[in-house]
Amino acid sequence: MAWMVAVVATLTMTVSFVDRAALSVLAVEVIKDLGMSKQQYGWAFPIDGSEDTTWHYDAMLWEAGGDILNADNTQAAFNSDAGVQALTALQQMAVTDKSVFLDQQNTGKIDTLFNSGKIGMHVTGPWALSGYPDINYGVQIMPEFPGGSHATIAGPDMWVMFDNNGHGEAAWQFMQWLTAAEQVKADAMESGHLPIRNSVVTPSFLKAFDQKFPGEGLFAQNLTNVTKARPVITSYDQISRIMAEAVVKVMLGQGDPKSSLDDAANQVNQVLAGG
Amino acid sequence: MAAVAARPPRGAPGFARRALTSDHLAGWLFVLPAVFLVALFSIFPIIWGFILSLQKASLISPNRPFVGIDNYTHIASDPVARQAATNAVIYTCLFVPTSIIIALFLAIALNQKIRLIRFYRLAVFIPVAVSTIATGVMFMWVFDANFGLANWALGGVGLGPFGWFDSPSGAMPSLVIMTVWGWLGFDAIIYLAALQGVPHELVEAAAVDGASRWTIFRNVTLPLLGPATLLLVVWSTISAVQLFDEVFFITRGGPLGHTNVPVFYIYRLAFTSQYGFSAAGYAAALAYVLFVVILILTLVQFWMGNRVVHYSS
Repeated sequence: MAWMVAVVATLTMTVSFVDRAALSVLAVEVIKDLGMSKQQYGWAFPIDGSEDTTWHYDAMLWEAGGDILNADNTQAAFNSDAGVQALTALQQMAVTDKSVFLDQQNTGKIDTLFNSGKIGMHVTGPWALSGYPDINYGVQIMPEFPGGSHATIAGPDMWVMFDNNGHGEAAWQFMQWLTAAEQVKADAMESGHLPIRNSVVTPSFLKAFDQKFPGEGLFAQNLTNVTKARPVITSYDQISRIMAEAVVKVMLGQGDPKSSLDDAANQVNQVLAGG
Repeated sequence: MAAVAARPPRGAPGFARRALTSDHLAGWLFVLPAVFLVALFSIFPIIWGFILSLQKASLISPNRPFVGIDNYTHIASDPVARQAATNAVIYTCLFVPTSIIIALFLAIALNQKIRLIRFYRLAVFIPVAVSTIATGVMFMWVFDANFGLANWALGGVGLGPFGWFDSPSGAMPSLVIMTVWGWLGFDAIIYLAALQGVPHELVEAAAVDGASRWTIFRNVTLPLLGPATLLLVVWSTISAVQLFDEVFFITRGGPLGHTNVPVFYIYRLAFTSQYGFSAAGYAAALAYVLFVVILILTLVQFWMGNRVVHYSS
């Protein structure tokens, strides 16, 4: 599922989504547009310390040109300059500007507040669009850092086959059929799932898809910005927890980006070394 | 001929026949389903949990090497466990006295002969019957730092705004307020029952002797509420140390671990892989230590309670 920023469309969009600095400015602008009441926020971020916190950050890390781990998954890499840049942007918005709504519970509050016009923008996926009947909004791809990319994060569900039941060959064939372009296309048009094959995303598909599921066309197009995936290793959950702790700490104003990420990287390296 | 021989010989009852015809058998058969369920869901997990606590294990992998008491010794050097223990102490010290003292005054109020008293009693008890999730959703919004009713109301009298669940220092007190609200009805009903059990003639005799209302309350009513108080202290302490639902649903142990309580930490160790795939054994060890702590706490409370509580005949 590609993530993008959903924006309340009634705002005058004077800033285009070219870079992250613009988002930061925009978050403040949005508050002004909404009336600069302290009851409204430009942007929102889940800080419950879950994987949700981490992958909101992951996208920004990639947009700045960074990586979670090194190429062979043996060392933490998120405490690079890119990682610090991404977290500093979050710190700026959360601590200095106070333009971002920090959701400690992360049980749907952001969606509710977005739907009632209390939050100007937030990062979400196509599944959430049906939850905003009360507002006019638009969808835009993720902003980039200068010199970075519009990288987004995709959270595909894994298709897992067991090899211990004697039907491995049949399972493999089924999987090939299931993930073939024709089935992917049919599933997308039927259910609104984003297609998992770029070859499916043709102009004619996009038109039909967006017509049936308004707003989702751009999500499907955005799949070209899915250039990186989270490391598929057994200790990922531990890494995610440690990274989330660092992000939350900084966004609550209790740590600085560089040292928090370095500290987290040390912990992650210990986990990676231990197994 | 063969059929006759197969019949049990008459007049030779023996053990088997006595067992088959006695009341005991019927009794055992009646309780068998319950015994089976208790064994399956209580006794078996207790034993398995102990074995697990001696292993480096996940709940799904068959690979479970025994590590002796390593899991237990690890607890002492685990900063998260220490933080969870501290949080449990803070929560218990806030929750138990607060809920019991408020419940006592509430019970006294509910013991008056006034109009609509049944309605008030019902109103006080309703939170106990409401599911924790529903309570959680409500408090999540009431205590929302930006859009919540609590900050709006307090702002009206010039207080706040408070961060409630969102602030590292406010999350635990917010949990206390929410759980006290949820438990108050239960405590108040226990006290109400105890208050109604206070013999009227004692109160009357004291009044005739010229005792003031406060003196009667202090020297007659309060001592007679001793057993109820002891029950509530023990009960509340056990549930406070085992706090989980509200933390799981609302704060998830945050912000920054300030509401990470023991049972929630045990849950995360055993049923998520946030602390690695093989932490279930360590979680079981923590659960056993928690059990021993609760047992000791309860014994101490009963021991101290029995020195000050008077049971009326």
